[in-house]
Amino acid sequence: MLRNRKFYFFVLPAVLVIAVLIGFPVVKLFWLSGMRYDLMKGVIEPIGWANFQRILGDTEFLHAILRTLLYVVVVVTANFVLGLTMAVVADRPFKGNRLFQLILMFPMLLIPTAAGVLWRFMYNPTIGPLNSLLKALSLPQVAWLSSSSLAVWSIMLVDIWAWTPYMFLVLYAGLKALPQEPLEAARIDGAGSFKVLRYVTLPMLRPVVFVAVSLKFIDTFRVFAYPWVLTEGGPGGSSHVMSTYIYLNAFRNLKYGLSSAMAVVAMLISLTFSSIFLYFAFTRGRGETA
Amino acid sequence: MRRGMLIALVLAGCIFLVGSAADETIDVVNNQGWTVSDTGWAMLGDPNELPGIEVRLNEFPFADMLGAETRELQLGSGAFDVLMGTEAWMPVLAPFMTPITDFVEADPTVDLQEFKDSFFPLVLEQHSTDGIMTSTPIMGGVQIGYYLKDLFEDPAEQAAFKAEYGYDLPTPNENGVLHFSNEGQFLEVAQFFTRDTDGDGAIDLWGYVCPGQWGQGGCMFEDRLFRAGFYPWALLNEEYKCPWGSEYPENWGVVESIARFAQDLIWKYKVTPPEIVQYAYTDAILVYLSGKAAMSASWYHDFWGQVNSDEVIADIGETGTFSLDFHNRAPRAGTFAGFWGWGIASDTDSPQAAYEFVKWWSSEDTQRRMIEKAFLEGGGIYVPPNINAAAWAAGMGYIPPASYESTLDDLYTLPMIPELPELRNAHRGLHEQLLLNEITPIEFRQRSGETIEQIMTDAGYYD
Repeated sequence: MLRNRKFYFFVLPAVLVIAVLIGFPVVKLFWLSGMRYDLMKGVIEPIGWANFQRILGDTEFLHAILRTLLYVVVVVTANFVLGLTMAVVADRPFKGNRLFQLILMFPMLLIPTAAGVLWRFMYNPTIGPLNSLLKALSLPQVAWLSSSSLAVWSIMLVDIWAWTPYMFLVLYAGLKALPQEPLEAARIDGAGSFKVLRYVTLPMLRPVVFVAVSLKFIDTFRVFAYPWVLTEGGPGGSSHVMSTYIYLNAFRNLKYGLSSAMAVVAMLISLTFSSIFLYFAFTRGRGETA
Repeated sequence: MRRGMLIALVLAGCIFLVGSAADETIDVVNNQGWTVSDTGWAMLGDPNELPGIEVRLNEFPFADMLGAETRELQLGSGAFDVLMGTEAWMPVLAPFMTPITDFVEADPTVDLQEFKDSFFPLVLEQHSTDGIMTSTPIMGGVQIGYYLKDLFEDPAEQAAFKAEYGYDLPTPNENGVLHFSNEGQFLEVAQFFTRDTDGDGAIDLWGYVCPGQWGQGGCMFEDRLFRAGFYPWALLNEEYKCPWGSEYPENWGVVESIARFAQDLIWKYKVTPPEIVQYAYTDAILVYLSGKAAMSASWYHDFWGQVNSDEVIADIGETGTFSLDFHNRAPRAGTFAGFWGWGIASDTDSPQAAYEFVKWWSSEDTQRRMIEKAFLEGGGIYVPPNINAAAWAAGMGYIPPASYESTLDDLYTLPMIPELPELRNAHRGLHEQLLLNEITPIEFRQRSGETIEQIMTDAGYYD
């Protein structure tokens, strides 16, 4: 195939598009990360590694990185567990199943910014419905977004609510595509529902699970809309993730060089964790189907 | 053949006519979602308002506007004909603008001195660089308070207040503006109105609610700095040094006192809910409009049309306004004023059309009609920078009495230097931590002062 020159001819347009749309911005990002770029004064000057050295001493950025990793693990895990549960339930025939599936889709239909605005109102401690419900149940009021220890968890809840339907869709499609004979054989052999799920269904579903979880894992690293709309990284910087902290430095402090360096670091962290995850996902997945 | 030629001639004629009648299009920057400019855009829907000129909006969220404008100007792209900005941005944008006075001088229908004299003096100064008027102010205001007028004027409430505190509940002056004599009186009124109305142990009516989140929370702090006499620029003195930096220990107590007041409202006096740290001014006004705050303050001229609408009055009653001058603690106390303006980009391809647009928007006639329409339709309100228009609007009740009265006081603004965004961010995050009770007023003073000093040192203002 490699000796066929037509191969290169056909892949060349795609390679050029990728080079322009992805390669050029990445190269520019690395270039900016070594510059002091003051847009206000029109000053661009090389400063070597100074931006990276500054990042190493920036505890807020380091906290944002750790918070992002926590965010990814918690959200993706919750998405998977809840999505799988819903898919297993929806896979059984019952009255109202289709309506159930339709209702499950609603959160995914909202654009993230709109969902963020909606939940900002929901979380309002004084007039929002959540605290009103807690009050009606004689439960203590919760400072959803105004507590520095709770804010990031409240944001994670929104992300889980919004994207569990996606996980449900993928896993449900996977369940529907599974061959029924192994499942029937297991039931005939006397296996209960849980054992069928644990020892037959899930192993067969593994390739689909790895694809769904991998995509969500990589996508969640880039989260921005929910934390920004809900808290703008506050209160007191306690809910900053990598993307919001970089945005703050780029577009509020107008430090393009420094924020480019942060973006390089964020990109390398995302790439590292995603690569590790994908390596285990696909070697494991290949092993199961071999 | 002949038919074909005839059709071609008719088509060519049509194209010529359409081309001749085509409006000149100008690209104008606008603050996305900003209700105060919506009325103007609605008026421009009538082609008779600005004949021959089509205005194309280029909208950006507030936080992104300056960056977007500066990028295009630095690149020389010519993307915008008319630039928009607060007064604090004008020194950054001014080098890229053709001074408005150049256009006015060339306009035989406008007298330059009359044009300049039509604006409030400080507002004119805010939009001038080295004495030359570069941009045109179009709308602005100061931070004011709203209070539930029916509650304050209830005879039973007044009697109960007098019985508890020994003096009368404050009432508005002849301009319809409520003034508290000092912070102590304000606190007593806030405490009086903070109450659990349904007996479930939770506060249902807060004495005072204001924004605490980042930007608008920071504005409340900056206003108090001006009222404490930190002249001329609150965050910097005339030597471009932080007034509460390491060289000025005599000012430390004042800043700590300002910080302590904000913190104590929540944690000591409990007249303000802790969740204000997540409130922008749109959240704070929602709490007020739901009747759960006896008093609230921020850049509230925006909502004057809304609070005077029949629906809101039916819900929470009439709204009165109060001045924040109870925070004044120095002879040189002033009010933090923000007046937005437009400037004509020097790389515009349509300078005359851009000028006609700015001239139309800033004229007294347009300002009057715009304010009236906004008030009657519940739109966004502002204080017109035109003195006559502002006085007329105040007399008609179209702008909050406290906004107009405050505009006649000493108005101040922040330092108009490129480092301003970073200077403001230096205290905003710390202010949130202060409201969360995570840092003390002393730590707030210390860390904000150090950060501001470091920013100015890094920027090369001094060693």
